[in-house]
Amino acid sequence: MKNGIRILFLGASALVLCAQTSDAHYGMIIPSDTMVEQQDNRTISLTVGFAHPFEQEGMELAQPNVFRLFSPSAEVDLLSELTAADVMGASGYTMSLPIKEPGLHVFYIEPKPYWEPAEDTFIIHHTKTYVAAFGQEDGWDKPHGLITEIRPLSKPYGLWAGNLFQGQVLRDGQPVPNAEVEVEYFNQGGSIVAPSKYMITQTIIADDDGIFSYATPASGWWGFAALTTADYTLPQDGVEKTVELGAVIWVHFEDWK
Amino acid sequence: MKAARHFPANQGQRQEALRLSILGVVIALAVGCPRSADAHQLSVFAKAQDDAVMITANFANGSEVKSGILRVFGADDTLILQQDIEGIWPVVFSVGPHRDGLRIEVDAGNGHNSYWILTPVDLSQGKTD
Repeated sequence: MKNGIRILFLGASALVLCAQTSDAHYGMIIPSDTMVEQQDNRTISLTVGFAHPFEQEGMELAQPNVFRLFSPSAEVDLLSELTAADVMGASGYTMSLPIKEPGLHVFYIEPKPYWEPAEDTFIIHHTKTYVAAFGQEDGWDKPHGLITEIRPLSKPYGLWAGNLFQGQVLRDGQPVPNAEVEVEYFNQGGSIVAPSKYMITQTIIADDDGIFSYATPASGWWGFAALTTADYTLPQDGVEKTVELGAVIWVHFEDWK
Repeated sequence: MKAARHFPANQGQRQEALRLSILGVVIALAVGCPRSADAHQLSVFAKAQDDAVMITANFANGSEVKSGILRVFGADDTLILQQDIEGIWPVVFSVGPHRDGLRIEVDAGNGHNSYWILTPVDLSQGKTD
């Protein structure tokens, strides 16, 4: 009987350890199209959420602090355009937007701090994604002055599966030396099964200039999250807690066919 | 299961006729379009606004086309406008009676060419009367 309890305890411990090796959190903005051309449907839909994208587990996303479009001609506040929706079993948002001008459309969300008791920290993922329209693409490598962000060094759309994606981690506009970058596949439909939980989240350490590279093995949406700790704390139940800042970028890789 | 949309027969037929006529205009306008060059990609964009059409032409890096020829064709493929490009954008011209669709071509030479199509719906959205 004692052995049985011990085995049960060891099994539960192993499960807890396994859970800790996966489950990276990602802010998510997933548009219906990343390259809009004149013959395409010019109204794109966007899904906004917070999730473990490989495992298709959604987490509650409260009304964000900021949801903004950096369009070719202006910065547009889209917060009031969001419609509440179920995203992977949790609260998220959707919206539709007609694309009316050529150039880059960069969508950005700053969520409210998410309290993660399992990690005893708050999480704020500054998340962005890119949509190019009507043949114009000037400025895809320019930062947007965010608190933290990944500056693309590879064009962040129109990449082939297997291409190398490069980015530079910035915090307050400055490179973050040796930043940790987590990479995860948006496993839509759950068709990909990881042989090991170690393989769900790929991890890279950026170089001294905050530059990292990753070659995706397959087409689809890939999220890159660079994690740093904020220089402030937030209270939780009367106790000050650390805040994890994520610079997240979502990039779609296309089938080679 | 997707919810079916129900229209009265005559309304559905009108919508189908409208869809087909727009498709026909787009196909007609697209016939004879130049094939755009892939490297140093040039793109043309036009929008109807206040009974006028505003045209821009840029390379993928955002730089404007400095020289070449701009041509505008009607839905029946007649040449409505042709002018040398002098690097001043946007080019603006009055829609006038040409509300059945427009094909706007820019040829910057050396295989750098592209076009934009304005459908009757696009043109009606810019109409002020």
